Amino acid sequence: MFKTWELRTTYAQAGFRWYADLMNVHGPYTAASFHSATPPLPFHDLTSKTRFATTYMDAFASLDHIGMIWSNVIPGQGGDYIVEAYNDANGTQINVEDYRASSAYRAVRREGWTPDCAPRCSSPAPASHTVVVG
Amino acid sequence: MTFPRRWAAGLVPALLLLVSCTSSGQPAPGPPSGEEVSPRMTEGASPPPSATVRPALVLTADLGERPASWRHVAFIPYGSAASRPGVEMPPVHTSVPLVPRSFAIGPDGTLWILDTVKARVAHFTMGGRYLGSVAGLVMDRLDPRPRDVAFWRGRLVVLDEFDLAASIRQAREDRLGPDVAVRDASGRAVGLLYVYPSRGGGFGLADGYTTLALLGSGPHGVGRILPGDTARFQTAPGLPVGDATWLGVGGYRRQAFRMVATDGDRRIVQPIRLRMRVAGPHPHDVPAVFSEHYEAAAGGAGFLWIQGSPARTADAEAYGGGRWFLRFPTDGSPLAWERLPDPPVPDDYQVRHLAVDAAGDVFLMASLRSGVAIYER
Repeated sequence: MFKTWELRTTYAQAGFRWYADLMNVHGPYTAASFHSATPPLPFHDLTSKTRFATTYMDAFASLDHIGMIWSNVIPGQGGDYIVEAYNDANGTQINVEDYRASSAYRAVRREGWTPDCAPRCSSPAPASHTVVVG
Repeated sequence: MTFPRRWAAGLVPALLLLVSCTSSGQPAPGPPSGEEVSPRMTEGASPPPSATVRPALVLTADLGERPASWRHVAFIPYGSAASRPGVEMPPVHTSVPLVPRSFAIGPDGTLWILDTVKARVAHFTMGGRYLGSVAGLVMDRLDPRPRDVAFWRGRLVVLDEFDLAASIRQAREDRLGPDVAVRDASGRAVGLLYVYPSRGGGFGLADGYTTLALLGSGPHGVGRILPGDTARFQTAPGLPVGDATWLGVGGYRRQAFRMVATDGDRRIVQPIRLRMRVAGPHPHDVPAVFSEHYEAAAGGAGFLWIQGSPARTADAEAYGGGRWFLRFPTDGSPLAWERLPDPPVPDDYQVRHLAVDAAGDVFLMASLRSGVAIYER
């Protein structure tokens, strides 16, 4: 979570840092930090866990565990496709999980992502080209 | 083939019984009873020309409701001895308790527990006495990992998954055979959420294709699994719940899903909507999110384990969430909707909570602090 969200190693520091895949770094945050995210942390709890309120790369955090939404596609029986690391043996994996439907979990979002619409988010609509014939 | 009169006649009293039992169930706006809909609104590989859609049934998840009492059958403590299931508690090697993921009731009524921590399927009497185990499971990040267990034609099978893709292993004596990938007719890898017991071939609950580009497409719902060099998934109308009746589930939306009963060329669709209610001096509904799990079917009914939580963080903190049991009948027997106890430790790792025996009786496996408990409804 720490590496994917490109958080910095200093607690609560804003901004981003890229980490290599094999770099052994965990960061200063626990699952509880994400579950109870308060300013000035560079991520915040969402007030709702509905599908309207969340999107991919948001996370669900309990006091002990955190998993990130892998895709906005909804599994056939509900739940979410979650990328997570349960334990040493299994490593990181993608699972169908019910964290959204579990009251132990809160939805949490990284702050400062570049919007998906970048770099055209604020661009005016292209002017229509009028061709006068004749 | 005609649709059994007992089914059509039985569903209405069953639903009326539910409404009266919960005192909070009420019909919701929906298609008029008997409305004909196009096949695309139904489930299954070969949809019939039409289906009958019942008015939606509203089930209320009442957070003030006390859990139902199920009969305690066995308690099996965790431990290092072979006769005890393994558990890994956080935080050293895991973030959540690694509890047994699944269980099954054998054809002879004995209990089989998917003991992932000890990489085996442990075998017990229904009273909890250890009988042995089937070894050969794998618990590493490079191989398929066990998810569910069931009996097909009297033989133990284990559902494995790796990056959502399903594979099947069948027991041979006291060892498990090789992983056989599950694919559909197109050869694409299919994800399975559950495998179901069957006297004949196997059944599983598909969750579509597993490659990222195809996520959300492919077969969803119950299907047959035909063994071979690869285990071929073939969509079915549901699980067999009677002589000629199949019960499927589908159409998941945020707070709704459909139960679909099929008999020959007749099909009845029962939309089910879920809502959450908070008790207290001023009972009121709160926005909620649910997930529903079609875990077993027998004796004319399907059995679902449903989890729900208030959608708003403030509500979740104030009121918590819960789990519920749904028995959905197709034969006129009573419909049941009752709360299940919350686990004393997080049981996120547990996949299956309900299983049925050969007689159709329903069992619940609960992960407790010091062991697993088995209850019978």
